[in-house]
Amino acid sequence: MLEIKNLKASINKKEILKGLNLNIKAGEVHAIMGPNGSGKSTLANVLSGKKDYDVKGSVIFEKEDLLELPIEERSRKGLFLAFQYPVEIPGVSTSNFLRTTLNSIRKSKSQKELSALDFLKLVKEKSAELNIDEKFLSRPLNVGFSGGEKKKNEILQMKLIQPKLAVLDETDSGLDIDALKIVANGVNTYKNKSNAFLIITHYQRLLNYIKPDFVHVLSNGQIIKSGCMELAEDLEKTGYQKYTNA
Amino acid sequence: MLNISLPNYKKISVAEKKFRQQNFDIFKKNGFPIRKDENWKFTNIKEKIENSFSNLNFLHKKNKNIREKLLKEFKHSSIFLQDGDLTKINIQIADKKKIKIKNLKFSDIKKQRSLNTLGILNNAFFSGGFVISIKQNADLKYPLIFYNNFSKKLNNCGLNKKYIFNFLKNSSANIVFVNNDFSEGNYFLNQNSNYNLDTNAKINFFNIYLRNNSINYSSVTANINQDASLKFINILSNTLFLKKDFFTNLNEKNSNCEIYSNAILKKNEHFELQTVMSHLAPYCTSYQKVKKVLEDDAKGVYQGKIYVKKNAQKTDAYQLSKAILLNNETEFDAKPELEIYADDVKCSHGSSSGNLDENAIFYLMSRGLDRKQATNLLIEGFFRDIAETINHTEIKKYLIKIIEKKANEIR
Repeated sequence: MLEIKNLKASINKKEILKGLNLNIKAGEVHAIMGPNGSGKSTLANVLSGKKDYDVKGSVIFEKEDLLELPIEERSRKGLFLAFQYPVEIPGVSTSNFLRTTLNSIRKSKSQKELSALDFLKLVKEKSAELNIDEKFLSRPLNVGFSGGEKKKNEILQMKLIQPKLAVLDETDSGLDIDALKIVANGVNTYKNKSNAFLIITHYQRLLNYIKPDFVHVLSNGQIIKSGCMELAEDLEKTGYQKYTNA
Repeated sequence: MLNISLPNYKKISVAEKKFRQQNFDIFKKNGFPIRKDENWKFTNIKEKIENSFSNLNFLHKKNKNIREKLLKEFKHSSIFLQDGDLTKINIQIADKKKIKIKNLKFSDIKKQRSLNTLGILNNAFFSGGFVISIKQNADLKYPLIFYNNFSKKLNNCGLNKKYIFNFLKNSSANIVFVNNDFSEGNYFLNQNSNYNLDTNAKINFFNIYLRNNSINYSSVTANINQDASLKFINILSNTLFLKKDFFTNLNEKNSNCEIYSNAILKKNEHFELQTVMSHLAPYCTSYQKVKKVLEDDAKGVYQGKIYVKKNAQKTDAYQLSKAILLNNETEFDAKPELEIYADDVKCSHGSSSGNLDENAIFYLMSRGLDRKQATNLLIEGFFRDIAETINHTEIKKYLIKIIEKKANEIR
């Protein structure tokens, strides 16, 4: 599904990703762990097409050169990024945003746009799964949302858009244990054989609830070690130093 | 050089003749405002007029082909104006006895202090307008819509109009003023309005510019008495050249004025809003929020002054100006001023201008919206808060529709 080869990215001439390789197949859950500044968020940003980066290497997503696609087309092709810091947008109601975005993606797939009624039904159903209060939908997007609400909103968007590959950028940060469980449950109920996840995190905590098939350690812009859940458990015990010094 | 002379008005009283002549003489001496005048620093109306006209005819023929298209969105009373003159009045039965409206006569004109030269010009050449009164204790059941239409044929002429709104004691109303200009432009429109709110009048005034091709100066003087409250909402786009001056006098205690303005300016459009909020009595409140989105090489200006007289203690005044500049060719000027002589007041103002938030654009695009959709959604959001201040559900819906449509016109 996703094939990253020798990916390099720099910002303001500072190289952050220094030749990263990663393969993700349908049905898999990958976790990337790494210390602050190792390039985790840069990877997420580069994949979703944020400007400001000078990018080299190759990323093939569903047999297409991802790096050549504009931001919105990456999303329409099935790539989803759950933001570490979802942006607050005053004046735009959450439901208006959700409907616009959902219909824009449906339109690109030549699907019929959802009527207001059908949309409302769908969004209510998905919100209920995530324990999201209906009132929240009429509030301006992310404005004044708690950390937990923002992250739940990201997962809600994921469940509505139904991407092939979801990149979760530190979705666990700022969550209390109840919210963490809800978010993890949201991911687990969405997970199936034809989609995949890339979970970016500092801590093993989230991985107790979303079981990864592969765990990678990112350090200084490269994946320096890959393994399975035991690697995450080991990192939690001993910290990153052992790996980053190696 | 533009040649302006006073027409030979027939069938007018000696007093009116004298009034017009006196004002004309003053105007002749002073001419159109020049940029040296602080109030006209950002709007060069003199140059604009001189470049646009070789002569200006102040006696235009009344257009008999009037447009009478009604808004279908909600039930309302309607008043049609064609080129600034009353043409048709249709008041809902429930409100019939609450409203009095008539053509403006010379005797309706009250002496105004400190008029600028365009006010003087208006006095010399005024050709109609109206006086409307909402009676004491009247609460209008339906919104009152003014269809302010301008004819296709207007050319090389100057229209000087006076509109007087008297809102008597304890009255309340929703007034919607829809400006729609079908001309090719090339006329000068000089409007002078008075909003007089007597004790405890509660008025919402929605001023909507759908299209305005004229070179337009519009001045509003609002006089607000005890416990009265005016909410003025201005929504503007497709406006070629406009300076709108809004002078508010909070004359008596506990009066209130709110001004909200949303404008989208494109191409070489020019819009200046100047507000002078005068707190002349204690315990008055004012709130102003002025927003603009500028595209192409449009120019937007906001000059806003809050004046607090020495005895106007416990004043609470707020003013905010925000502009989004969509490219480098646009110009936005803001001049906020506070002039405070009382010592127990709360006054604040702020001004910001800049590009759209690129992080927000990225966020929206990462959800499948293209750049135009993301931009439109952000602009809609930028303007949307104005709608949240409206209590009348149907007017609110109508304005949201206009805002959405306007936001979508941005490229």
